[in-house]
Amino acid sequence: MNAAADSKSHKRWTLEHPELSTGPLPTAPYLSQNYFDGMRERVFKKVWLCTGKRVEDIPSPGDYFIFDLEIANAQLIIVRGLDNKVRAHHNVCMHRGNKLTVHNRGTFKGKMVCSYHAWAWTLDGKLATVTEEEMFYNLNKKCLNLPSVACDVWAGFIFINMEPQPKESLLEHIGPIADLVAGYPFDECPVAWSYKAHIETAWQNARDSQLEGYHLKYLHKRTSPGVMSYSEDPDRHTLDFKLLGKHSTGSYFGVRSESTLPPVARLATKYSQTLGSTASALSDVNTWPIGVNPARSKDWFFDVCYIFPNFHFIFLGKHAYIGHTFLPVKVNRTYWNARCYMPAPKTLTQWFSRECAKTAVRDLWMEDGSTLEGTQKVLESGVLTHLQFQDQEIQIRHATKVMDDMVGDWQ
Amino acid sequence: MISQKLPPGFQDLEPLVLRWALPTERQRNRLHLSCSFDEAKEYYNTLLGRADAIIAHLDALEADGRPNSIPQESKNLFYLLLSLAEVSQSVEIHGQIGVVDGFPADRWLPEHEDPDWRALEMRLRPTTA
Repeated sequence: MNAAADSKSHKRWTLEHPELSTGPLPTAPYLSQNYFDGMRERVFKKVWLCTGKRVEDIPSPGDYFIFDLEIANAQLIIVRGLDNKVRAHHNVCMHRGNKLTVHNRGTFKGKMVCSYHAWAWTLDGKLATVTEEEMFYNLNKKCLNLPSVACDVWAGFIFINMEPQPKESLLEHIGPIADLVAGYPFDECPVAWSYKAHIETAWQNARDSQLEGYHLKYLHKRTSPGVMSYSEDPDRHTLDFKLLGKHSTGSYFGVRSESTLPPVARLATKYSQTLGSTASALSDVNTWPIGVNPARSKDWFFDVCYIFPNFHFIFLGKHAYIGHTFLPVKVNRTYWNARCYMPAPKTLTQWFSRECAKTAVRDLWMEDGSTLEGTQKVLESGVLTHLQFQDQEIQIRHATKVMDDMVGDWQ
Repeated sequence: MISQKLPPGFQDLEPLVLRWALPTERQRNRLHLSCSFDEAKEYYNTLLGRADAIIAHLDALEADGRPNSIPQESKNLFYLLLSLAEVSQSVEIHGQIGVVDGFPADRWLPEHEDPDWRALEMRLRPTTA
């Protein structure tokens, strides 16, 4: 495709959405305990949340991982049952409140047994054993099943919902995103690497950091050199934006031909996909899910697909994507889990190539992370009352409005 | 004691094995971030000059994509190549050790190297040792 001939390159997307302002947005919600409390009560305890983990994380009955929802002071055991159904239970012994497990992941052998007094539950949360039961007085065992939380799976991703009776099904929550990414070969792309960190920053700062491609040319000028600069049309950037209810997608231009890869990066790119690969050359873009590179451009770098409120896909091609999970902890503290998924290496040379891709993406993420704590300090100083957003930052503007509308009156 | 040897034809690299042939990302990253830029660059130049030969050696092993099933000498060579991947960004891109003004590396935790994660990996993809 002749990039310069694409008339969409200078389109102003925000103007097509009069519900969004084009003005600056206030910093106050980023700093407010009231707003944070509103996010907890009206969003994070009400809507479907992606755990950021997939069914492959718990492949066999009894396999579990812990999902910490610190904003709600909740810790959930996500466990695969004997019936292969994935369920979420609070990590609590109903006897006297001990944690049923202190590990982040593992396998329960048939039952979940408390280490303290050996009470036990089946994997579906039913009370199975009370040791020395005859010594208790009028034990109401019907009330001693594990408290469960709604749990469901979409496209292999495990979601939970803290609302006892969720207002909508997971599929209703996912809405139009489901059709846009239908057919993506998630099951052919195991997790290749996964990093996690607690960052001293407002959750919104972290969310926003992965909701725009504007910064790529600048913050990532070393780790993604030249990819988004195009000498014939230097202002070219966005191929597509879609605002889809609570969610949104953005598709970004990029060309590899003008960027020259240094030796090891070039070597790695010979053997499997790296940041240096031209994804559109690895498979016919017309075979990709309709929502991934929707413009079907060969000059394509990545898509951001935001699933409200806490999960971002970054699609890097038909067989490579990133999943970012951002969870608020405190008003100024955020948990971040960044995972990259791609096919497992078939040879040791591909392993080396993947190691190069990993160090490149790792460094890029550490560039992303570099801004977050400094920004928090600046916001806390009170020197800024508003933040500025350009057209390419429309997904942040939209996500902010969705959150504001749900939080409601907080001042 | 684990062998510090390399396969025939790579003896010139053997002095590097003790320091650089490390099996985990955490170990390689710790070494990378603690060494001088000059040492990283010298390592990079040495390994880059032999990378094609190392890749040819590894390709000839017909391994299954995991290092567990290959001889220790070849494993040492493979880990040297992974250390090339580890330092390459500093030499090729940053012009210094580590990300320029980056997030602190010691707080950016590789969950994929946690023992419970590796146990799951081994279960999903058992080696053909």
